[in-house]
Amino acid sequence: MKNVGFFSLTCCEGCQTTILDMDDQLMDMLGKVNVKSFRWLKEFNDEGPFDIVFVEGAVSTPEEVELVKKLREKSKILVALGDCAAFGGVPAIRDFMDQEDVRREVYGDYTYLESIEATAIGEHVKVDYMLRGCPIDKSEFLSYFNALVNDERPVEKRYAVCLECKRNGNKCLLKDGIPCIGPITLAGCNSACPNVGVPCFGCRGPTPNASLIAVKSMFETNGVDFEGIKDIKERIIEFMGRAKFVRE
Amino acid sequence: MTKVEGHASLHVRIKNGVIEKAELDVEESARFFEGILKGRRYDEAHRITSRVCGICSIAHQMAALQAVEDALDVKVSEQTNLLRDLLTHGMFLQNHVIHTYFFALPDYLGYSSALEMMKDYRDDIHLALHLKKLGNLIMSAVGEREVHPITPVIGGFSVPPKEEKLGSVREELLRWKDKMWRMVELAKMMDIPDFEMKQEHFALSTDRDYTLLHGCIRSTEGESYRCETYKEHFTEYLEPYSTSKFVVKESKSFLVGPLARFNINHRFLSRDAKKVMKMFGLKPPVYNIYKANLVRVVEAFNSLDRSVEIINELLEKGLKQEKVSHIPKDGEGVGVVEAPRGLLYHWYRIKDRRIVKADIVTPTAQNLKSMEDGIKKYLPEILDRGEDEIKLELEKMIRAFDPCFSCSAHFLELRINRT
Repeated sequence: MKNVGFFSLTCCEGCQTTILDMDDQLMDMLGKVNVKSFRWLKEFNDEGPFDIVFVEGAVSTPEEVELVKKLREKSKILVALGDCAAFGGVPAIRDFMDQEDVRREVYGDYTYLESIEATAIGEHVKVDYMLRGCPIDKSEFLSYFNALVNDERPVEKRYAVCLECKRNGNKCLLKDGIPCIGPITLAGCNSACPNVGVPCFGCRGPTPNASLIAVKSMFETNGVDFEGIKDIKERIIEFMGRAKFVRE
Repeated sequence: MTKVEGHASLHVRIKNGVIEKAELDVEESARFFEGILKGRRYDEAHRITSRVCGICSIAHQMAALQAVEDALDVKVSEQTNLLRDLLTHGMFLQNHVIHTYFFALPDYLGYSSALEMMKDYRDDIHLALHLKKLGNLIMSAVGEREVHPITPVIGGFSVPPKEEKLGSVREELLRWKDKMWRMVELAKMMDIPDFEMKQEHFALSTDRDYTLLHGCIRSTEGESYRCETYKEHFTEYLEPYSTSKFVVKESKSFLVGPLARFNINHRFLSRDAKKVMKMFGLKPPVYNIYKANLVRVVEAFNSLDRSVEIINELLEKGLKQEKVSHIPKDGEGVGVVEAPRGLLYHWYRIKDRRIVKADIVTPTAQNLKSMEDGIKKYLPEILDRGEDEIKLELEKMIRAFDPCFSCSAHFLELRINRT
């Protein structure tokens, strides 16, 4: 049986919660592996060695840098679990602001605490797979989990949310002038948000050829009320700010 | 003080047998939410703050939406209010089941974790997973997802849940209700320490229901405040040893959460929740924090019963697709809700479609001082016991408060300095 660990860095722990919320499959899943660490279920144990570790959260303290390095050394496969681990996520919004302003807004003159950048795990160590989304998608997690446990390579999607959205027969929200960034967001969520009339916010990170200019022209063509390229950049910062491969 | 994975450490100093200091150091890595909201668009507030906590994301969404709606003068429909209540009861049911089976029971029954408890209580852990699932079913039917629901938006819901879906959720709730009484039996096995700490409790309150989203803030001492005056009564401050803020009322600690809600609103509990209360022998007002473990079971019953009632009402009236539009404007707004851990306060100032100032006060911050006071009061009574036993007793106490960092199974690094 494979030795598996689940770890949590700076985040809301919603991805681990999502795994625990897979009620029907949870016990089956955990029965297939030797769970060495899972904070909600048993003790924290980062000693390893592990065959697979799933790490959620952004790296935002020196201790977390050390922990991801240690986990990398001790595990054969390291999976970044969720948007924070993959792209810095919501904690990384502050990376695009003046750090001192951000700190002051919360802690005032109190200088004991410093705001440092929240970074993706892949900026510190090699990441083998990224499970995207805020939070992760249950069925995608299950397919990755089963593949990895059986020494198979998980199938990574390469196309945009739009493809899933069309397949689901949704009316395009952009056509109603709603600012949806599904066209540059990687699929795998089965277009969860547009399915219920909510635009995509890009929590799964960019497609390989994502381009901001393309979004701008799509917004313009469809009469979306927005404030130019600056506006699109701001929207992208909410969930995928640190994704390096977004082109202008 | 060193950092421990697990997010909290406790430093106690004892001089000649007298507790001089009990400092609770919460080492959550700071995420600066109020800071990152500044300059973001107002319609992102509920989405961004949902990410404060993946376990009670719905509470943050509800508080943020209510605050933004308050600022924009948006009124929501009766259907929206019912759906938001239902979503919140789903979260309460799920959170309370998790706390009872995964955090509390292992401590009291002598296991290191729920997984270890499996070997002797297999059926019970399976029941726990089913009961937890009931809450999840409610949340995914209404919000399309348990963690960070998708459908709640400013003004209501992007789409209402399907009637068939709500109907089948109701069926499941009623099907598992009978089996839920086992949760009471198991909770009765907890050996609750005899410990009282009389202090003021605060909870949302109305004159008609066991409210989770509406009303004013009332106390066990008969105080009553409008939500928008929260900051006039409660003061936040920082301690050099903790990243979390502390909150006091007139420099005194106070309590929010299950005990507070129970003491203030118990007369509006469902019939079966009242029955559970009697089975536990709970008589309000209760000032023993360990009994919060029992009140969570009472509230789990209440949330299940109330969910069935809400679904009945919704299906009777029929669900409508409502138009949710609003006109942006400048203004300030407040949203106060009950999270499973207690009062949650959100406040925003909006100008030119941007958030220019945000203020969030979490239940854990409000209860931190009480945790320290509780430790100071209880520790002298158990000081003659071994260090391991003291540690377990203090962990049990802190977990009874159900702070946000309680999910770490063995979180407490205890340092006792005796001179």
